[in-house]
Amino acid sequence: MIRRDIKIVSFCIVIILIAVFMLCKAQELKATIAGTIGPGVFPSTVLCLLILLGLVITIKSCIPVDVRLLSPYSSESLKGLLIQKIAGILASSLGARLVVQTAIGGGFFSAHYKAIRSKPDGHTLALLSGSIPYSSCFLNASFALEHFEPLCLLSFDPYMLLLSSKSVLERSITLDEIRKLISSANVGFSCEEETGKQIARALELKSQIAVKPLFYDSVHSLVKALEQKTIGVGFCLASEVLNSEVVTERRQIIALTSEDRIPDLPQIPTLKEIGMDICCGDWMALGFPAGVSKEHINYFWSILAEPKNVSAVESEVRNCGEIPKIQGPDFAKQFLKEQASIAKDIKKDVQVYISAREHLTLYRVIASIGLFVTFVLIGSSSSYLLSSFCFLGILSIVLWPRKVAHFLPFLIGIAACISFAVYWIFSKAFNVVFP
Amino acid sequence: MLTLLLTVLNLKTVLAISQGVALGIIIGVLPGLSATLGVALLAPLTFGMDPGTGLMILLGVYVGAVYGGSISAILLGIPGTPAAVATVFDGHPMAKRGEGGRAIGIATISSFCGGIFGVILLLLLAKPISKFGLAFGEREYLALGILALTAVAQLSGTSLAKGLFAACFGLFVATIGIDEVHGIPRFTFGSVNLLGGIPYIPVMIGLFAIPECIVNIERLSPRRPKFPPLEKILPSRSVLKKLIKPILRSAGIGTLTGAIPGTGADIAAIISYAQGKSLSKHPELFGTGYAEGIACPESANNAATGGTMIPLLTLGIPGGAVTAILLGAFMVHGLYPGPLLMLKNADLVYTLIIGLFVANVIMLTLGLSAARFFAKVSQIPPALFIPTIMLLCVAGSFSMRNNWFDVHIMAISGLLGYCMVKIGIPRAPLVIGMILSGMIESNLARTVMLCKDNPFKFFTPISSILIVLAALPFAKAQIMYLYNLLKRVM
Repeated sequence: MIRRDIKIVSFCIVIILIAVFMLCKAQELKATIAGTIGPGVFPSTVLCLLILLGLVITIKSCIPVDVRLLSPYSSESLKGLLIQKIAGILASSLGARLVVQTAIGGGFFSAHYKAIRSKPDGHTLALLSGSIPYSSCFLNASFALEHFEPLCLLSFDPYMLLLSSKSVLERSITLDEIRKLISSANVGFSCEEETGKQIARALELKSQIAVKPLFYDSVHSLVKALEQKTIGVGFCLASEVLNSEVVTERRQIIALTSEDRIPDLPQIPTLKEIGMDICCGDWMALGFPAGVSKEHINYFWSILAEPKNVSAVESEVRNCGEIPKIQGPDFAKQFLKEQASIAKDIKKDVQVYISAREHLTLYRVIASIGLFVTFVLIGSSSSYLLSSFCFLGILSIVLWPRKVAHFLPFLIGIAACISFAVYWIFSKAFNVVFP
Repeated sequence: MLTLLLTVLNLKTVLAISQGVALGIIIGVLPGLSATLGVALLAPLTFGMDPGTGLMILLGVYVGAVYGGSISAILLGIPGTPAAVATVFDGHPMAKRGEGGRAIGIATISSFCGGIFGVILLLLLAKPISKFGLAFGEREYLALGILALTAVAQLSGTSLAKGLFAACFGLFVATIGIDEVHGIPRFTFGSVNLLGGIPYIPVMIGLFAIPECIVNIERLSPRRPKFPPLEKILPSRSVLKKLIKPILRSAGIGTLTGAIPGTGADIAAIISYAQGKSLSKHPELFGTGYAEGIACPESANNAATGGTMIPLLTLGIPGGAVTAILLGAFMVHGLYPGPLLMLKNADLVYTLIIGLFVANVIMLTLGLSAARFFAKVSQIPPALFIPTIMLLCVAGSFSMRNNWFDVHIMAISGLLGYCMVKIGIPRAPLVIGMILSGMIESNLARTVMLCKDNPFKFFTPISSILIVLAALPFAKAQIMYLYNLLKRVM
């Protein structure tokens, strides 16, 4: 059993202590107008309720939770909703108290960081993902899979190799033809640039041919580029092609980057069949922190593997627009090992960059709060215009995600313009007299 | 009515509403910034204006921000505001296959239709509900205040206890300052600044804007969001013809959902998406970039803007965080929404309703003509807009009374709000508790005096119904707890 977040208990205790202190003060308020209920009655009632509710929340928070599922996705997102549903299915079968804890953000705020810091006692589960979500959380998932013991694979959406429909192939493509296509022209990727770079690097390693990658915002642009012969071959996620009528009409799928053929496209061979052993795509899995006992994994898998649960999870994954692939711990372990090895082969320096970034996120939050509090404290005693310019300039520099040196004049210029504009608008248009 | 229409349709007012709508769309487009933040940030700027124009600008911001969220939802797959969450499901897949322009066109037209539907319903219902509200005495108002608090506490978070905890904290914060009946200072600790009480607007700015800024800092990414080029924006007539029914149905759902305290544009959008899917001829296409999947939530979330104004203007009850800030803005302008506002200032109420109508027309015009510009706004680096918003929070709080103490209040509220976000305590009940505190306290005092000899006098037919409705969430929570306990034991 794990204890729930200590933060809420501390918060409630602080508020309860304040409320008790205020309740003592409220007793000093005496009524002066006859027939009225007195100035202290309403605040005292509210404070008593506050103390009572604070105690309820504290007690509730101290009741141990059986399992927590750490999710890197916002509960409002499509994948966030999927995780809630999977948690519901698991909880009802386990007959246990299961909570989904959302931890979005890079570094110390991420689900990944929290999961690998947890005890491997079988009470913490995390959602692992091969994709790089926009929010930048789980950025290093592919690089640190050894920190996890997988429970199961939930979905796998392989990449597809596309050709323009004009270059119709009557037969299956051979490895030499793929090599020729890759070496003779640019290769297009319709995915996040970082993911595309990883696939390109993996292709280079497996085919021993230099890949010239070009990145596109959508499958539509990728297909256009194929038709205009800007690229010779294109890579995009299978689910995107399957869901797009426009692309289905104008493309030819020549291979998939999955281990096996997928049920939606049984006639399409895999790259592995053709002779290039590469298996990559967008995937989701559930995992425990490394070091968890085999019994825990087997117990959870025995529950998830019940036919009604498998079909429920499959249908939820499909509703989320992903391609379901529910596989047990052994398959998932092998799969994650392979993904980790691909990731490791690609670039050693990326990992260094990412772990540096993890710490940077925490420093940024602390620095931002510190700067803001300083500005609020000194703003009244110094020149407002100057202090607002300093606040804006320093905070923009702190938050600038790329190397600051090249952008320094730009950031300082923007900070000067904005601080002056805000000062001018408020003081001229609204007669505000700043300190 | 014609005179009122002409009052709203002068160049100065239309320009003011246009500015509000444009600013609202920009705020909505920027991922992580909500309509609540937009209205809270811009509220202080309107206090120097005449009430009609100032409030219409805020309504413009509200309408614009709720719509603007759909642009980043469609193009980037990130809902600009919580109300656009359901738009991602079909809007983004459509954009990914190169039909982003068409998706924005559908979202704009649906938002407009939903918004107008909400305004019409508000226009039709405002007077009858206000008349009904006139029958309310102190007991009914006390019961209504309790109902509003429990409804908001239940619907704005996952835990009823946490919602009520926040609401009670809000009720308490509002008691700081001089007591209106006895003239005795309460919890001021000798501070002159606290004698006037804790000002609403800096608390709201702090509670909603600062946590959003810090959360955005946590999610900072070195990657720039990219979106495919926008081609044709106007959808074809045949597509629009097919969408009429789902748009109207969702607009109805949106307006009614918005009118329930504690709900709002975000809940309305999700309910109507689910309804749209279950009633559609092609439910299997939902989630794959289907036009109906965009039209349903977009029509509902903008219809909810009109819906949320129904309890605010007619009964003086804010249904959510945005309307709580609007109520605060009304009070700063010396107006107290409720049945009497309709009686004494009917012209102003109708002017605002017409203003809401005009805001929707401007939203349609801007949405269809400047979608490409607004799409580019989503690419402004957070490193530039986050510090700017923090600076605006400081300037906006200070501008209220030219008093730096208000900035301190804003900063403390901001840090409190961030803690609340981190531990999952909803902020909307706190704000609504603060706003309703005065009304609840004064009506409680009168009710106690009235029912001194017989406590059962409290239960008039209306107050009984309202109290039963307020008690429902507790009853439901207890029944669910017992049911789960039995299920586990069995």
